Amino acid sequence: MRHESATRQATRLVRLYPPHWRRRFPDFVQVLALELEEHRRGVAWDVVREATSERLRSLGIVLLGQTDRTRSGLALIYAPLVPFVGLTLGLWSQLHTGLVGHDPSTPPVLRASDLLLGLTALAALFLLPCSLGIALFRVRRPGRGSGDHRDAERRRWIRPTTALATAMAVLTALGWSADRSGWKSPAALALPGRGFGHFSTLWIRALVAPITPAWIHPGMFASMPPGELVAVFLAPVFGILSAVALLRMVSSLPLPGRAEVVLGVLTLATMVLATAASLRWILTHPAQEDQLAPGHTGVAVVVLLGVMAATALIGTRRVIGGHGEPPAQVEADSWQAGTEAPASSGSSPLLLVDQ
Amino acid sequence: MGSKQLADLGRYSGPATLILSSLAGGEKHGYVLTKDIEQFAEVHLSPGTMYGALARLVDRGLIVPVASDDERRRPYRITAAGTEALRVQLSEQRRVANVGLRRLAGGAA
Repeated sequence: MRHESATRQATRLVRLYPPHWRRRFPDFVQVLALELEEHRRGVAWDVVREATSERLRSLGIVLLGQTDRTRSGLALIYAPLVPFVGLTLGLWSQLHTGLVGHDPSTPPVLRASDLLLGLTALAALFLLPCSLGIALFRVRRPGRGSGDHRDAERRRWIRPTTALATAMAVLTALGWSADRSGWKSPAALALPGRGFGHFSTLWIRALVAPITPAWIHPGMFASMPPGELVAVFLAPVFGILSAVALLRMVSSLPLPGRAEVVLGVLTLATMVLATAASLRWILTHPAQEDQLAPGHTGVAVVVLLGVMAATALIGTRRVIGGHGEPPAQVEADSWQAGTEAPASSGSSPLLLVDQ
Repeated sequence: MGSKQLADLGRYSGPATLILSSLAGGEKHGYVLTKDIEQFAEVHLSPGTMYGALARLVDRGLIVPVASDDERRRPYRITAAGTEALRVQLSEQRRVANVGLRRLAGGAA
């Protein structure tokens, strides 16, 4: 590359950095131009990555190391479970004690519910294949290392992967059983009942089966069809099993941060789906004297969605941001980011163990 | 203070060690730093990564920019804190290297 051309490209690339950074390192353009002139591989990509990092840093967002991203991803996936379970119980308590004759004519809420329903049904369709795909990829490619190391990695992945696949299969069967039983589950009534979307309904139907007013009115269990009854009692067991398996899979090896975020968002979306479905049913079925009344359910749902949104926000911020520099990590087989060993290099990568 | 200052730099720890090692031999500007590191460590630091590490080293007071008439060639100098941080880091690496080499020798025997 000719010098003028390299200087022009360097000048363009340096503009990616924040202005204060450019003022601080006026010599950077010159060094970059010389590197570009030498046709160094990956120089432009390195600059783009570092400039993005500096832009984020100037906004107070610091990229975390891989281990921290994994931990944050786990927090993002599992933290919403706590408000979800707690506030869902609160929601049904409101159903039980709420006011009779609530006016369900709230079109904006219904439209929002429809939107959430569509988006989350779509997300739910991809959640299982995504998590299984990542897991199977890890089983097939457990990373570098010796033969013994690879075998150990594979063994570590086989059990949780098998457990997750089994639990998901059982949940789908339970969902099918509940779906065919004819029992009206308020938590699942608005889920897709036919077509391609029905597939996602099956296992979500099982997940939400335990969310039933029968816990408050145990007499309802007596009138439940066997298909629904089995799902109500077995789904929590297999739901927890799948969660534990997923936890093991995610924590066994550090996954790429992006995959964790996707998994977290999809998990959260599934929860929102269940809640939105409940809300939709409640609002489209005016209470009668002998039925459960919505009462303050709307308020409970708004609080629930608010807590979920806040959790997602905090989780996402923890994934992509943080305070201070990322902690040091040691990975003996990882090469230093941004460094490139010359072809004739005989240097030891152990010198550069931090990522 | 700062016994693990370089380790705390995360993914910039390696480049920072190389930069300080280079500056331990005298002040240098960006391009010369790259070439010097390439020569003694056989590692090429891309400019984005190197200046990312330089920024963090300056922030921590481990190096300082030296006044220069030519802004396009601004040299950097290692500070006393930088010298100490480098000493701690290299000692740690030497300790790990010694253990590894000893075990390798034991396994080969």
